[in-house]
Amino acid sequence: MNADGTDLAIRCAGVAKRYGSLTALAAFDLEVPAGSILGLLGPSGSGKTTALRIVAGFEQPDAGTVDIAGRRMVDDRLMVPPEDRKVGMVFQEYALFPHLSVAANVAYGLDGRDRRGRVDEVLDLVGLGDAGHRMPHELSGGEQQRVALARALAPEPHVILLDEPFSNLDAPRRDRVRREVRAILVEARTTAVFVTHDQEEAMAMSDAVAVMRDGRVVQIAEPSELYRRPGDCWVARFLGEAEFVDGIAADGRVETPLGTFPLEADLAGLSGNVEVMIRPESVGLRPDPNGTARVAAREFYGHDQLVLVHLDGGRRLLSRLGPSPSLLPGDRVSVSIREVVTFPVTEGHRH
Amino acid sequence: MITASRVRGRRGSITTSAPLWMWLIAGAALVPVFVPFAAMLVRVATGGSSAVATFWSTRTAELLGNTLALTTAVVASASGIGIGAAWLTTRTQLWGRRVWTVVVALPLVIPSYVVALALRSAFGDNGLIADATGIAVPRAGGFWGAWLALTIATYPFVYLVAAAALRRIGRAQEDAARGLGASPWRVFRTIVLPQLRPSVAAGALLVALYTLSDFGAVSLMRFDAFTRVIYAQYAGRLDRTPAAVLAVVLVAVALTVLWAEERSRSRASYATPHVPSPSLSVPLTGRQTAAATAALIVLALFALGIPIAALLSWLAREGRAIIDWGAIAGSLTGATLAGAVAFVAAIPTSVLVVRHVSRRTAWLERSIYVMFALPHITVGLAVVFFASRYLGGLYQSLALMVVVYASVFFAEALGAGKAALLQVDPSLEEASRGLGRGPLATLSRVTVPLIWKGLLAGAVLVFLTTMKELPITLLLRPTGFDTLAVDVWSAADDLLYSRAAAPALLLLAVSAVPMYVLTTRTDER
Repeated sequence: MNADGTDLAIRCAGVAKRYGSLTALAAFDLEVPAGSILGLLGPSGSGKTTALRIVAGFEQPDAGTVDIAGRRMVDDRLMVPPEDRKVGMVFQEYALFPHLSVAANVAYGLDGRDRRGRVDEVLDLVGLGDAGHRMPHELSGGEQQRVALARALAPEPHVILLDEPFSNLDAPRRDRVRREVRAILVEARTTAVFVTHDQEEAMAMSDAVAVMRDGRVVQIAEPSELYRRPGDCWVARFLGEAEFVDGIAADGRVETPLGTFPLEADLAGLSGNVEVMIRPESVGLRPDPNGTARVAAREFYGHDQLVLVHLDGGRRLLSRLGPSPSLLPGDRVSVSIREVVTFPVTEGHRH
Repeated sequence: MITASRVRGRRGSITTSAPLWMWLIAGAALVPVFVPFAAMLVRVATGGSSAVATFWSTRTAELLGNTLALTTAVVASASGIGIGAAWLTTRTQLWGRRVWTVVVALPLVIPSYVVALALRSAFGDNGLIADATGIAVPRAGGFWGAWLALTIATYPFVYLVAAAALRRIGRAQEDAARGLGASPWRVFRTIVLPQLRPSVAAGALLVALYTLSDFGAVSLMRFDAFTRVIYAQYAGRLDRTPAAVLAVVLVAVALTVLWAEERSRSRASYATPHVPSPSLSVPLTGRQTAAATAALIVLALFALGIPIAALLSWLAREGRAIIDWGAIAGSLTGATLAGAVAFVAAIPTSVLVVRHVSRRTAWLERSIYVMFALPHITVGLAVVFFASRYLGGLYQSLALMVVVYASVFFAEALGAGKAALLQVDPSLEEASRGLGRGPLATLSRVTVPLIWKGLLAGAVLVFLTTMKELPITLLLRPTGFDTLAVDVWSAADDLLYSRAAAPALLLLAVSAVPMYVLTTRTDER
């Protein structure tokens, strides 16, 4: 039980891991409530895979503690081997045993009499009830993915860990498999942690996203909250396109070269120099021969379009619009900004 | 991205330490060779005046001169023939090129003492060549006889690595040089040869170690290399310290060669990016083609034609094949048991070396390769000394001989097991651990089922080399135990060539079968 009374499936505290001179994890803290799906998001080299492998027991940390389902797994004196952790791992390349059939793969982690029943049950859950006799190499990438998931789910582990689970699938198939996997995880009522470097994937799949940078978690939040209120400029930019302008806060408002905006409620008392983030979807454009900006470039995606405009002062701004109006480079437009996010200026995190 | 790949590089293994029992098995593989060697070193160091006298005698200097001269000559000729044959079979459009690639490699299965036996019976006034053609040819014996026999027996080592390297090296550079107006010879000398150096050095190392270690050919050719004299000292004298002293000197020479090659390799590393490119082969004029074909025919004649013809004609002269069933049984028993022991021990040792990379496992691997490089006569001698003094009942037992075979040839089994395990994604083993299976269950249910074919290929190699092995068998065999190799050697040593022919042919036939299976298997990959 954690302080506010929810069950924790995973609790990592102060976990550190170095490889020679390279610090993979520095004071890594993470709490994952039971039954939730958490995305561990970060650029490559941020330590997310190392963190996953430490939870699974494949790496021993240099310091820190790991608890799974309330049981201590790792501390200074203790290192529970992976086979005794009840953690299901789904590997990037699936790691299906090539010499065993699908059913034998799924049964691998099971003991006792009712193995057949459980194998059928999880294969049905992942929609491969009739594939038990097939060999792994006869399956498509998406099917292999689901077998790997079924194999990990079969022994009813405390938590499922997925390492870059969709990186081996091509783009059109990835969205579908992602939805399927999320549905399976939700139906199995399991706790899951998955590692990814893809922001959209993290936000679409997870109940909460933990953003990692330089071996530690810099922010953990529900996806829409994370996107709208990133903790700092780095997180803001990592999650999506964003423009930053300097501003001055006073009297519950922030004054910027692009206009004056109300401060968010929790920052109402702020005054002095701030940074202001503008997401492309907050920027509206309207064709206007007397407008203050000129269209410089446009990428049209069908369901939406991304338009780069140059303001008369020389500043550039990105706007995400619906499919209309049709704007072409050179057109004059007027700009309206619906919403901004204000950051108090912190040393070392200026854009 | 350097950092990311470094993290990934560490993903080879579960970072918990290797189980103790793996270390015990791998360490046990070293005991049968290194413990007797240590004892022999002590014996030499405490050997007193006899040891000192042997070491400083002119005999030692003479043997050293003989052995080094022979080794240098064989390395030079084997390298020349090996590189030349590799170039002809990979870079020209010689008629029958595909057949030549196989024919040129075939002498690999013929042990040196069989080559020596065949050459001795073929050359000379009463030899088969003189009988068949009426041309007087000199006897094969002494330095040049040993040189010829060992060149034939060893050039395939250089040929195989050089041909593999030539296939790997992209031909774009050669085409570029030719396009700049260089002659084929200049291209070969300035572009091909420098890039071949690392692999040819590896092949030449094998040739040098084989020659230093060779006992059969030099004794049949009556050439006083270290190995022949060590055996004579051992067999003919009550004081065995001189044999031990000579053995220690020979081991020192072999280890020096090993060390020198390793040093030269670490300095000469060529990055040759593999860029497969369609390329013209080197065109030869009609006269050049004729010369190249003639050279290969002469090579095949010496390396295959003469040995096989000699053996068959002796068999025909004898009129009937004397089949020594006891020797066949002995060869098969010893070789099969050695292969089986190496197979089993290679399982944990491969896992240690591949999945638990550390300074300690690097030393383990190196020690295993050193055992492989030690001259067999010195291994046999060291074990005899040790076993006769300390092991009582094990001395001259089949068990001891098999264990020594398995240790000496363990590198072959480990090499194959390692190659097979490197093909297995470590996440398969991690998946098994994550699904609740401990290290032993993971080994038996995932790792071994995935690598047993590779291990089996390694065990077959051990079987093959054990079949051909001579000095260890001579020194360690139980009383009354015979092998085909011993039959060939003792008959040939007594100049009873007709009696040696049948076991020699049997040996070739038995070696050729697994060799054929091995080569076709690797072709499939």
